[in-house]
Amino acid sequence: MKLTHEDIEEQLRQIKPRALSPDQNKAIFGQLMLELASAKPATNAKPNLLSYWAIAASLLICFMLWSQTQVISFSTQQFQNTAQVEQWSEAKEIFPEQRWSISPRTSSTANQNLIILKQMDF
Amino acid sequence: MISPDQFRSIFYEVSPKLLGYIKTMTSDATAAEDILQNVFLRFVQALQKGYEVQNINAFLYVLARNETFREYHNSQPNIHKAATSDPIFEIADHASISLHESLELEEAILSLSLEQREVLYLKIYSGLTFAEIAQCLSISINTVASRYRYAIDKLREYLCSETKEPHHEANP
Repeated sequence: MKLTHEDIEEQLRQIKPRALSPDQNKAIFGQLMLELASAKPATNAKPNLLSYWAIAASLLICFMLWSQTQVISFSTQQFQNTAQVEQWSEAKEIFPEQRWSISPRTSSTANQNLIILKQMDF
Repeated sequence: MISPDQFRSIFYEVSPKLLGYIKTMTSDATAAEDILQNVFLRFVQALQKGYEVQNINAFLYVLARNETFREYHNSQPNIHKAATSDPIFEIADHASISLHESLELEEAILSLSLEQREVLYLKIYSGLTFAEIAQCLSISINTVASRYRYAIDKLREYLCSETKEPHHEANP
C-alpha cells in the first residue's frame, strides 16, 4: 500500500511534542526568574548610529539655514544702503546748500525730498 | 511592558510548543531547555528596551529560531544527528499507533534536513499557516510549501523503506 500525502500527515498527528512535567516546567520557570532578577535592568534605549547621523544632519541643515538668512539680511542691508546713498547723492547735487547727513533715520526724508524735487522738475 | 502575571501565563502557554520546536531542531533535550531560557530572557530584554511586539507567538518563534541557529553555529556542528536517546515526541491523545511506530516516526522526522524539519514542525505541531511560517522565517510562501512537500515525500520514502512495503520489492 502506497502512503499518500494525507496518510503521512495523519500519521504525524498521531504523535505530539513531549510535554514537560509540571515540576520540570516550574523548575525552568523558576530558573528563568532567577536569571531575570540577576540580570541588569536595561537602561534607556540608546540611539543607534542612524540617530546620530540624523542629529548631525539636522544640526547641519539648521546651520545652513541660519547662515543663509544672515547672507540675505546682509545683502538686503547693503542694497538698501547703496540705494539710499545714490538717492542722497542725487539730492545733494540738486540742493547743494542743504545740510545732508548720511543716516538711515533721514533716508525717508531724503527720499521724500528727492521725489518732491523731481516733481518740481528741478 | 507586560506584568509578571502576563509573563507567567505566556511562558506556560507557549513554552511547551516552543520547547518541542527547539528539541526538534536540536535533537537535544538539555540544550533545548537552555535555549528556551535564553529565548524568554531575550524576550524580556526586548520589552525592556521598548520593542513593541505585535504577535507574541511569532516573535517568540523567531527568537527561538535565532537562538537555535546561533547555538548551532557556535557549538553544535552535529545538530543534524539525533544525539539524544530521550524521545522528543510522545503518542498523542486518542492516537492509535504503537510506541514502536511513534519512535519510528520520530526517527523519520529527525532524518529530515533542518529546514524541512522546521517547516514540518511549524505546520503540523504549531498549527501555523504557510503564510505565517513564511513571515516567521522571512522566506516566500512558495519556498515554505516546497520544503513541506519535500519533507512529506522524504518521510514517505523513509517510512516505506522501514516497513518494506511490497510495492518496493514485487516488481514484475
